[in-house]
Amino acid sequence: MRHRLPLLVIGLLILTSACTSGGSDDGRLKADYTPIPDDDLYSAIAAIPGVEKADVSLNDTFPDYAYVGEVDISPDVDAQVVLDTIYATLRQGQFRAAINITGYQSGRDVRLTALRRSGSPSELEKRYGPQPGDGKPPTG
Amino acid sequence: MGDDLTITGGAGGITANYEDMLSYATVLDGAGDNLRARSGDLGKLLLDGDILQAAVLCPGEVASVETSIAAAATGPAGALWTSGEFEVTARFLRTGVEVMQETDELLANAEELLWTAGGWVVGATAPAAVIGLLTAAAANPALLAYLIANKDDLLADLQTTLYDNPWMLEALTRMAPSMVQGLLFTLSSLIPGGPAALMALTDGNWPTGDYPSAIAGLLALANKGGLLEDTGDFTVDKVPGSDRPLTITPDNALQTIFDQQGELGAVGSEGQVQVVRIDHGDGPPSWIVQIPGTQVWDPKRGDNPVDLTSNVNLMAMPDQTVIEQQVADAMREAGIKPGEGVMMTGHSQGGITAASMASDPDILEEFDIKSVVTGGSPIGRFDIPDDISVMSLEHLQDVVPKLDGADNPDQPNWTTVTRELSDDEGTDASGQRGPGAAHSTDNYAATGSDIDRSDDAGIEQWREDRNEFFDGTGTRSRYQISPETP
Repeated sequence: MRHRLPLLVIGLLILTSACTSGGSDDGRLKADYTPIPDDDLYSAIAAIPGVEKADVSLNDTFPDYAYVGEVDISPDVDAQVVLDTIYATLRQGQFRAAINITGYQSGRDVRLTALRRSGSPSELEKRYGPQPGDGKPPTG
Repeated sequence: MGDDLTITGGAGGITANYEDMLSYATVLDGAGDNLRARSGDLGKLLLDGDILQAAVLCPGEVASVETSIAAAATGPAGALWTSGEFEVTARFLRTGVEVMQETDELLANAEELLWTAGGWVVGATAPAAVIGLLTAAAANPALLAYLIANKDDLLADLQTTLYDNPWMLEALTRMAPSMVQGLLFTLSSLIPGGPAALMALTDGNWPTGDYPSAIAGLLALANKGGLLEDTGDFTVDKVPGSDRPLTITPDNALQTIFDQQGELGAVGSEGQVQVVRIDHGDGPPSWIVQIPGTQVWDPKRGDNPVDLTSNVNLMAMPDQTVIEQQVADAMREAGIKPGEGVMMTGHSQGGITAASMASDPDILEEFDIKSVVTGGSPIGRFDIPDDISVMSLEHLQDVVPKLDGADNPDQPNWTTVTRELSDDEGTDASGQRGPGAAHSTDNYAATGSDIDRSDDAGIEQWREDRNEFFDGTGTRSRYQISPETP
């Protein structure tokens, strides 16, 4: 008799969870690739033509999980192409990391305009497809 | 665009509509007064000497004129009658607004009472439920084994359940202050002195159904254990080489603000405040002050006051907290002068700090805060003056803005935009869907982008009124809060 309330609570929790999430971790998204180590990604970014200086890091301070940073871009290149390539490169890194990179070119700040909204994982997937991709931005 | 946004308050809010109705009532009242005065003038015309003299020559015609004047002045469709109708309509409007406002208030109070009572019951019975659960598990090895084996999945499913059912988050946060009290008062029977001792430890703030007293009691209790003490001497210095150009335009304003909040909260920027100077040619500059969200979760104050201690102390709404003093120092260091327009922005705790500063008469005496923008911040209980505009971004599945257990006020100066996130947006790096991801700055930047594109009349009005912050050449600088060295 004494055990009815806790058993009822557990039962309800399990029932509600099963009903709302379709079970346990079966429905959870999981990385099906091995992320390229962050240091390798940062080196790849530094090697992109037009990148003069890059300061990118992974921010995993709750609630954020994002590659954040600033990149100085030489004046003779298309800053949008450079930023697009940087974003595509970072997609090969940590699973579901957001990306928030600001470029600086000729004394002005530049943001990637190809993304409709911010660099949240769902917006990134719309442009670059599922992770990891091939490190190249989509054509066209 | 932005169809999934729910907008409350602001120019299209209920209070603005009430105010419109009261304005119409005043106009009707004025029109009634004017008509009544004209009716008196018409009455005087009946006794006008010239007309009376004319009656000698043309009695029939004058009688007809006098009948018409009398009808226009006091007849059923005349000025006096219509003025009365105007005034009665005005009174009906005013009474209607008063009744609706009082009903709103009564319902809100009844709702608060309900949550408070529910919280007490849940909190007070929680220890018994836990003991019962442990006893049941001990007596049933299969159940115990199931719980242990599936602990992570159960917790994960609980998070998913909360994300998928935001009403549960709402209920839990509304009940939380009384739930904690109910729990601790039940447990207090285990300590010497019992509930009376707990009352003393909370400096007499508990038991209470009042939110500020509940937080003050929690703070007093924690302080007795050396926790959540808002102390420490700090200094603020400009970060060398941190000047960078920043372009903010009306069509990307809120996305840029929250992208910047994301950068400010990143590793390597701990304890920094960002100040953006917007130059307008010859005129005085405008300023955007950006404050980060919680960076340290230790309940003991350390080197960085952007911490849990600041969260609780800000919500207790005492005098200026340490973090507010440091942000004000950063503003002084940046050279913000009285009369220069300031917009305060913040994510999470940063928004609470911004709202608290905008409610502080001492701060307002020194700085001309014109606007506050928050994302995922529980600021509904702050008494922000009517002449400061507030834009609050909230996600339906984000628990943090609900932590004050109150809706943001529906006022013409306060616009709250709520967005329901997709399942994908609520999924974090571990693949787990839950309220945590709903609080991220990248999701708030996406919401900012939706608002930037919104053609809602209230939002467009907000953008237009804030133009001084979104039109000009911006330069952002960082200011470091550090412990004072002896």
